[in-house]
Amino acid sequence: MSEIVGIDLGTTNSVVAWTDQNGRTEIIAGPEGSRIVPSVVYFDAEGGIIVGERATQFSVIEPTRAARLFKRGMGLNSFLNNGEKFTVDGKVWSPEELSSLVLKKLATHASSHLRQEIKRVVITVPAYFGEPERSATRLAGEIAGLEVVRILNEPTAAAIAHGIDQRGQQSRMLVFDLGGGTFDVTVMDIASDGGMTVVATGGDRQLGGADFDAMILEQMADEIDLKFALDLTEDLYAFVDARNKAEEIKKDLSVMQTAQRPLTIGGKPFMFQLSRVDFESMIAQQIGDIRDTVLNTLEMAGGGTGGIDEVLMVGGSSRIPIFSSLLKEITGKEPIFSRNLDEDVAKGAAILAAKLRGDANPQSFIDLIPLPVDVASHGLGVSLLEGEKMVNRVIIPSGSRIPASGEIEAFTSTEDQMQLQLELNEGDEVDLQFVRKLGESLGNFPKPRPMSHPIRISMSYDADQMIQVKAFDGKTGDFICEINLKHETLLSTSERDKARDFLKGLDFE
Amino acid sequence: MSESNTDWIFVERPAAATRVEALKYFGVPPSSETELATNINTKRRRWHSRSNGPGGAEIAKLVKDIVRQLEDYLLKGGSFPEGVVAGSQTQQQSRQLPPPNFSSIEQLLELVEALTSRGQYQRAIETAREGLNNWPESTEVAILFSFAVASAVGTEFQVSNADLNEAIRTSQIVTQNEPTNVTAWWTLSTLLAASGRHEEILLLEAEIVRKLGGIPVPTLLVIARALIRTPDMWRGLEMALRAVESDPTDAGIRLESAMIALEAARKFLPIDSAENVTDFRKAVSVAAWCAHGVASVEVLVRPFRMWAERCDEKMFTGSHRLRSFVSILTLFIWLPIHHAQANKRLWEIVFNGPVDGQLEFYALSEMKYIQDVHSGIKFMWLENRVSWPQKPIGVDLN
Repeated sequence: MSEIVGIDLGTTNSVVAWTDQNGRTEIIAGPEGSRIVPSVVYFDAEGGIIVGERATQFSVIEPTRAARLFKRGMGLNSFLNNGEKFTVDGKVWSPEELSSLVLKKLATHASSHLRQEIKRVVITVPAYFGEPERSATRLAGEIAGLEVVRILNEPTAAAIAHGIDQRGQQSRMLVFDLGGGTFDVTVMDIASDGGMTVVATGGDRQLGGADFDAMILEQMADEIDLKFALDLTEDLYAFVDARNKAEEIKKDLSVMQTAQRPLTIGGKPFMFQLSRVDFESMIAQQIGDIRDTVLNTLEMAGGGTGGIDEVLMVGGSSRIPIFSSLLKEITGKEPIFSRNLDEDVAKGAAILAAKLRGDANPQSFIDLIPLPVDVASHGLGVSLLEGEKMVNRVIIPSGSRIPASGEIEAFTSTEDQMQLQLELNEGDEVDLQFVRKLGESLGNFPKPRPMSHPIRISMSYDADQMIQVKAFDGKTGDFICEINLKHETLLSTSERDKARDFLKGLDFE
Repeated sequence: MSESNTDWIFVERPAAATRVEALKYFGVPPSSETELATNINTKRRRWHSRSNGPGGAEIAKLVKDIVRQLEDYLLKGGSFPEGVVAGSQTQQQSRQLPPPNFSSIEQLLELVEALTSRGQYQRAIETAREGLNNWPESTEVAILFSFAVASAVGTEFQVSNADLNEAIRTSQIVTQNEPTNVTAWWTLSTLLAASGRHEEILLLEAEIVRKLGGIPVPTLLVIARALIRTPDMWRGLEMALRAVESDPTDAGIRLESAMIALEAARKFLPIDSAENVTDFRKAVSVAAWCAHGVASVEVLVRPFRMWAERCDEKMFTGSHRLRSFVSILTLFIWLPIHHAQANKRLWEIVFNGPVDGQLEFYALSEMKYIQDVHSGIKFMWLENRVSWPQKPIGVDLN
């Protein structure tokens, strides 16, 4: 039986875990003993590629040769703040390719630990990820030479790891997942048999611990400017050193009222100090945004703020005390913390991987846990002319259980219409400005149709995340056109093949 | 709550910089002022949710920021934020208007920039001219004056010919003294375009390339539009395409380029020959390419695409009854001849207009996109009429 491991491909850190037939889960450490691999890639001048802790260290010396936070750009052209593509020695590296390097490194660790080549994985993603981001994650696995058996939502993975599914009681849970780079809030219904269904999700792909670090860093730069009239950003070494220390200060402030770290700028020492009160006022706007997201998600889930039985905190940044106070204030429940905030998502993925492997001991709990139900994180619709305006008509609303399907009736908009333009959108909004176009197709009627002639548009979204939209003549049933969208990504087939071949030749320790 | 009672949630900007409009922006009235805080929360949360949605995050973030600024103004006693009112060009951070008096060039720059961003063009031009009098040798102030005039071009504000000519003269001097100043070239080309001096803009093209090594996109678009208005129209379209290629992700460039291409396409309307059909289609396909991926621009181009696709199709305009009768009479020998005479292209039918006894024109004119495409186009048959003729009463086109 070929093994399947669970991977938490995080924005700042990644973890790989494996569960045996009896349900015993272990986090697989690398040869250097580290259980958590920073999602950082460093490209040395000789063409070597370093992933993880050593890449973080090298990035201090040569920050322009190191990539970090690339998960934020999954499915997009760039992950850099300035919108530019990440380029080293003339080669552009997409977020998918960079992620594949991290996956390859984790799979190598797992292969050497389990003494067999790992080819199949379960990868976790934020519940709020849309179709392009999920497809990009699959592609990253593919480039790394891995079969992605399942994409699992991070909150679901955390809930599995926490044993929420094994308590035999029905409840509604709010999972608050504030990681290094993304923020997810999910309301889930847990059935008495352990079945988990995501009821509503909300989040922010551009908000996480790294943003709080950046704000502390900004404060450091301001104080240095005031005291020494020096620009921190002009001294790359001092800047990267300060960035790492900003992260340490943030972590310290979760347990202490005041934190301090020594910095060096222009050869002069400087002690930077920050209190928890000042830190909280510094991130007040982000706290407000997080509060709004939680309230919006609860509203989407229905049942109001009082309908939550439990609050589970996941992700390193959920340790910041203000967030547990906020959740308690909103839901009236004392939040419980995931057993190990940094590793539980990978553990949950590993448990599901063991379930999918199909060789679990019938006596173990793995055999008892039901497969989590996937739901569409965003609605899927088509563009239609309504009155004078093109709008998005949702066919599969967000929250629909996958596989999902739906059908609507539309009408021709002109006399003697010969063609039909079909556009597939992601999003629940009616206004096209606020949805994302995923694909389009142009089809012909066999003969001209009069105005207001019916057209039947059907859509299906299967468990393999393939979206199919078909248009038929509403009267004759003749097929007009279709859109098949399976794991569309920004990389072309040749680019994928090239990246895969390149990674085959790479040897990670 | 009725549908219209929640419309205020979706309004992106307040209509004017007054407390009354700021309250209206948050649905007060119809809600009472005691509900203001709740309404602000509702609106902020709605736009926050949109800012994390799959599309339109940039706009949503902007609106969320406006909501926050107006919340400070209404509930925390701040001043009315600048640049947030509908029609204003900037909407970033709240910024106080600098004092109307200036004693340094920096203060003058700040003041004129703030006035133009608030749409106060008259004051901006007057202030910049005052600066020009104070510092007649300063290139920076000269550019500022031309920039203030150029910013007003194309807005509702009527720029006087005297201001326009003075600004052109000033920017010509600046481009001679500071040939690498990008703003000065954009200003000069914009002002020349506003004065209808298209031929002069074309002379600038080579000069800009010589001085800057290439043409910056904003200037490229000004030149492209100018070319559209000369016999060298196709080169204008090439430039519009080049502008899009320079940054395919910029929706603003796509919009501007698509509008340039549509202006070119309208030059071939009304279609009166097969040659026009080809040229019209070519220009429309450029517009469609420029608009690709930006839903709001695609909507504008769509009617033109539909007409380009269909205009050359044939429609039978003869008498069906006569056709059957004569066909049988001539053992169908006459049928191909009759078809050749009676089948007309759709553009021909639209061009010829209503013909007594024939209903085909009315059938076409009922198609809204055809009227939209030809809006403002002069037809012989449309002379002295305000709108397209309606079908004769009592006639069923089906």
